[in-house]
Amino acid sequence: MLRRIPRPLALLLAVSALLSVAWTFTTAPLQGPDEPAHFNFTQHLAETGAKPTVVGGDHPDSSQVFAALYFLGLDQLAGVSDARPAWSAAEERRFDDLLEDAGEAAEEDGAGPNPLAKNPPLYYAYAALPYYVGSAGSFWDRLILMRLASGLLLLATVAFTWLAAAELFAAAWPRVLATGCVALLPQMTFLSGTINADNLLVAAWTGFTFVALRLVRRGPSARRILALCAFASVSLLTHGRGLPILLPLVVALAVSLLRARPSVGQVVRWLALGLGLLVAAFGAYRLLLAPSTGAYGGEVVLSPTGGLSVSGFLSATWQFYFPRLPLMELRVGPDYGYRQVFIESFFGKFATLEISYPSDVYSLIQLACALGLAGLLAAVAGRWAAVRARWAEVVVLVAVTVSMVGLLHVASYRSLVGSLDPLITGRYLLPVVGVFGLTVAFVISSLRPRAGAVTGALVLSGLLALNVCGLMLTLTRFYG
Amino acid sequence: MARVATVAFVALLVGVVLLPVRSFLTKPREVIASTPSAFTGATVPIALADGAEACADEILFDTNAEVARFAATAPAGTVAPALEVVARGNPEGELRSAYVAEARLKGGWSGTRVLDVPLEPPRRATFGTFCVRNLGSGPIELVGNENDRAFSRPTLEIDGEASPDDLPLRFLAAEPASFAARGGQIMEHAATLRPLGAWWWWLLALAVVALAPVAVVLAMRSALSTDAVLRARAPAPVGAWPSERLRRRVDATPGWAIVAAAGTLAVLWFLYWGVNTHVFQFDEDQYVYLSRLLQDDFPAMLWDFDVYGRGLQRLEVWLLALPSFAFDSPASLVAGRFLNAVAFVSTAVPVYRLGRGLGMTPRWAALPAVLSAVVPWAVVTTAFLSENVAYPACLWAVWSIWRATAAPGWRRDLVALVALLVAGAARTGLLILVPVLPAAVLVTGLRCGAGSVLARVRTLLREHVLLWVAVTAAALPLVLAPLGVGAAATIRARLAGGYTTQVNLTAWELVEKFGSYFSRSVVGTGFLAAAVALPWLAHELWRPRDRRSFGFATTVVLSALALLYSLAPAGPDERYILYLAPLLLLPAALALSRREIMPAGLGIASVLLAALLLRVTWNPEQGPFGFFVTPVEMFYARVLGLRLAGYLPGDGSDALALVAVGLALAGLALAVLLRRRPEWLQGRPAACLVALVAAAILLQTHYALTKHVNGAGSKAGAGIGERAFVDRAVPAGVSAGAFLEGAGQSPEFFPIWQEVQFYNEQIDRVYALYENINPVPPGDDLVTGVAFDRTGRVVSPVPLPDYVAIPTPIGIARLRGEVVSAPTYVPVALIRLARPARLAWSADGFGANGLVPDGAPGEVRFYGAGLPPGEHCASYGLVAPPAAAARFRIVRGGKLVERGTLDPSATRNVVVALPRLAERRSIDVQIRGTGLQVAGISMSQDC
Repeated sequence: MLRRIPRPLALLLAVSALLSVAWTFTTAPLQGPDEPAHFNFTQHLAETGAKPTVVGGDHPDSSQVFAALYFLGLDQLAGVSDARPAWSAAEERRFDDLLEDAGEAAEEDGAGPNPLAKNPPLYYAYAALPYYVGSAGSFWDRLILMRLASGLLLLATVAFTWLAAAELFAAAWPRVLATGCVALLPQMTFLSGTINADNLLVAAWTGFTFVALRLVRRGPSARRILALCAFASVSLLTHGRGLPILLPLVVALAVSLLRARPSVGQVVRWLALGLGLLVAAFGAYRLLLAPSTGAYGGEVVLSPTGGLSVSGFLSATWQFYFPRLPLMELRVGPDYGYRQVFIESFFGKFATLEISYPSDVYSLIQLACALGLAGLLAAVAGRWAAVRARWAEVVVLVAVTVSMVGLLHVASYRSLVGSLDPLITGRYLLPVVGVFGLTVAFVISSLRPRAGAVTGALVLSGLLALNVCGLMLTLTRFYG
Repeated sequence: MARVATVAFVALLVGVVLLPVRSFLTKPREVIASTPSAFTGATVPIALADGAEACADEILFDTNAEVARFAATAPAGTVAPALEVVARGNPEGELRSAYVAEARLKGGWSGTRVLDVPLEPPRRATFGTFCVRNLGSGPIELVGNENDRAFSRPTLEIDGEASPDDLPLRFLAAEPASFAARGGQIMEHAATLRPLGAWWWWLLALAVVALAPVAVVLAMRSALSTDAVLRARAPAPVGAWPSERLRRRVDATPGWAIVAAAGTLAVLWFLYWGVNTHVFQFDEDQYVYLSRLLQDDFPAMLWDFDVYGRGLQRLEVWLLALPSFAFDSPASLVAGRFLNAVAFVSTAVPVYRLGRGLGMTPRWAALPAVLSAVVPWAVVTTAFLSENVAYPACLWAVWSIWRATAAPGWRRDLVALVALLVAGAARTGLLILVPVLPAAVLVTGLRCGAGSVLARVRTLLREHVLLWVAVTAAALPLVLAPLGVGAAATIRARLAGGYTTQVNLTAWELVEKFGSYFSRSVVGTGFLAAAVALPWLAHELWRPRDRRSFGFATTVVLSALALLYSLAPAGPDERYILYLAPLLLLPAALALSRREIMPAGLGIASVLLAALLLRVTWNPEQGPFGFFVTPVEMFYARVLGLRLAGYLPGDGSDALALVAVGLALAGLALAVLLRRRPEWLQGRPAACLVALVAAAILLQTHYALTKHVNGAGSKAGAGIGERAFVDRAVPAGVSAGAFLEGAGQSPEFFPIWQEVQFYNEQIDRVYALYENINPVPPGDDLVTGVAFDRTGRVVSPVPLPDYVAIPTPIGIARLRGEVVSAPTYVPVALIRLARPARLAWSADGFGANGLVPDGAPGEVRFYGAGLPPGEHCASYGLVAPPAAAARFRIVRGGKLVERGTLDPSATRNVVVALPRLAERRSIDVQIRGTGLQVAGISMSQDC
């Protein structure tokens, strides 16, 4: 089986695995985005078989996690650049004694309130496996194993990107570019070194992208539709931000069925299994597993909020990307937009967002992205015939992107109106990281071969350099 | 192909490692030993009385904890007492230790200080307590923070009692060290709380640094090799786009269309920054006021030399008058910015025409044309200054002079004379180009004409009759004025205004000044342009290839010298040398397009220009308007100097020296290549070099615009719309007035009135209570001697208009009326006057900004005449000073009606009833207080 893995893919998987392991060890314990809450959720699920609650309970953190946060300075560490974690053997020994004294009860009492208890439980069930395996070791062994399990999801994401690229590009170079853009993206590899449900969400969306492309390219079949719905189900059972996958699901099914023009009976036979799985998964979650406060939370709040308007949404979204037009009201909230989300926190802001590259580096990335966008327009114009011939794939990719970005804008607008908090960050764009890689590959493969080779090499080199520098910044920030 | 890709991949990685990574890892930094308590919430003071002690427990004293850092504040008005600091190991428990370290800190300082206390560290890491004792006779406050966002391990006790707050505390090593020097220690730290030891970290680091790049390179090479095989099998390249159709379309695009498209983008670019500029500078307000005056006094003002005082120069005023005639503010100001941007960018047209006239292909001619439109000095488009129109006017003049030299004829002479007149109208200083016309014609005719010298002179006289007549006419005032002919002196004075070209500098000082100006032009146009242009110009003057080129070189050199000469008495503003940019870019593009770059010339010029860059001074600190006044210098000194110095040894001047040497070497390398391997520079390498120069220019322009507008330009401040609060509120065609009284008549208020007048076109009258002090914009009617009688009725020589802008600080008299608009960024409000015009109240005894003098009352008389019957009351907005509480007493008609105390910095609104005010003529209210400020007084019936 291993022999069938293309060499470039195997190498990129190896690099991404290496980077993921490096991030796993470099990021100080419990310093990933909301990592204590993700850990608590998993621990409570693994120890008691039950989810923590969103509002109830009297232990947001289990006693074990609380002791780590409090005693080892990991609580005050988050977001404070000049703070350092405990790093002496004496402190580690004292902490071990504390855990020993507390006993097993200290693992089970993190019942809530846990803000992440609003999340569906699939990722946490997955993370419970390394948690169990790690039970043979120390608290830190568990943490590391759970992080490494997130790294496996990165490998799945990388592999799915390669497969998706293979659906679009006959040549190997664009596949390497698309996959490399995912495997070497610093934010992606950083996230894979933390305990975070986004890892499964990203893998599910990338897998969905691959299957959707295959579906519209090769035509519908019961297996493909089942696989597509399976990925959609994983997305729905992972996070509230997984909900918008329903839009590209509908689009992919509609496009593939329109192109195939099957009989009604055939349609029913194809769809039955997949949609059945989807309905069963969502129904089971909604009826059996959803918290009393609502099926989802955070970015997917379904209750209406006052003060919203279509014009306000359009104005806020416009000003997210562009300067305000004369007729527009000033966007509420902080100066937060395209650069902060699509550049800074998409390419790399680490830990609790306090570790970042120098501003000039982000400016360079922004410039490169601007050139890339201009190149995309030129490539679409120059290869219009080819683009038009592959309209189905383009529609699917656009649907995947628009659904996620659209949800984030709606969520951000709702949040800004209510609380002046823009809510969204670049990490939330990672579910469409596969589309990002495919787009980069499309633009660069549109250049002449020699120019494409050099540009692609610079892109991959730049991402790797960012990754290594990110690791260096993180290591010195926590331990320097 | 795989090799090229590998080289690119490795080159970028090596570049990153050599510059930022090396610099980051080798920079000496403070070494943090531990941070027992960092930021956990809002900062709070932790009071420590005489003899009191604050102790934090659960402190880990590591073996390199040589300095303890915390902060303390001496309460206002006191000095800090001496402090004793004791670090002590826990006497009991498994990790007990006899460790004790003590230190004493001298008192006597004031304010807040970060205290670095040297301590003897323990031999092994020890848990213990850290105590600070107040040894002095006065209190001190430790800078603490709340337990809010997070918790830290230590518990703070003050004299044995637990405090809810934390003492932020950090331990440091005594000496700074770089990360590189502490690699082992960092790996040891990182191995804590982990399953594997420090060896694992080294292994991991090695793998990431060495194996990851190799794996990516192997993946790249594997894919590119596979594709090469595929490409060899298939005739069409795999995945490459079918670009021929697009290429044909691009090739078919005419040069003018490229100029137009690039110009449109440039206009939008400049307009964005222009509209977001919310300051105006000296001269801008004059231009704006005069453009408004032009409408009132049209057409006489067109040629009025007395009001203006700048000689012939007036084109910018005319240009701004167009939108001012069509719209009110803010639309007129936005349109003015647009016209300025269009005018500036239109410089591309004469440059393009020059290029075409010199035989360049349309696309080659488009290159200098577009670059001329986006030079760094385009930052002037964010201001209403004459350079915006003078820049294209100058280049039109140069174009017309060149035409007169290239192909003689009276029509061309006429066009040149008109162009010079327009250039003079755009900027008086450009009149210096007038002598360039006959000089260039003369030199070109003599050098390139046919026959004997006499025959050439005769030809010149015959072919340029109109020009010589004009020269004679123009010379008359110059000759006659010193002879005392009054009319001639008047003409000369009117043309030149207050400007002069008299030089009080020695020859060397002049050369130095020219050198300084020219160095900015060299950097601003991307260095290589000048290195290519100068030898080409020299060669054309020495051995001309044809008449057109010689005429062009002569015109360029004479024009540049004339412009530099005219700047001898000028300041350092780089916008004065803006005109030199196309005079460098055009010859450079010409040399490139004709393949006439001389290797020796390029090498020599590069070295000389680099020497010039080394010789002149570059100052990175030029104040808030530095990015506007000296955009190139700021870029060069800051981006190339200071920023590069962060990555290299030495300071900014060392980095600039390296840059200059690097530029010289680059020029020399190009010269050598051009000489020995010219084929290496053909095609794409040449295109890359051109792109590099273009990028250098664009980068500087972007830098100047963003830095200026985001900084001094107050992009984040109130917008033009908010500033035009009068024009937006007052109906179109209705005049508004400004009412100067109280604080509004002080010299300090003048900039505020200037601000209001600049952004509001509909204010065209100024009313001053009694006498006026401050200047009034040209064109505004000034009405002095406004007064009021005992009933508050306003007496004015000219009736007040319905809408009046008034100062909001407490002054002498407040007009009665409804507040229509009250922007927050200036202490001015727009009111609609109640009729007949009366005062709401008058005041006496208040200091500046409504301060109530200690020991004396601030008196306010509220007027009742004309008010509707019923309840009336006054509302006082009181403010206490930041450092002390303020007491107040309010007395109405001799009776105390309100008293109280405000905490430091507190504000309070106090309502005072004004019983039967409508029936009475007036009510007097007195307010007394200590340190009290009355921020505002308003009247209403809503009591």
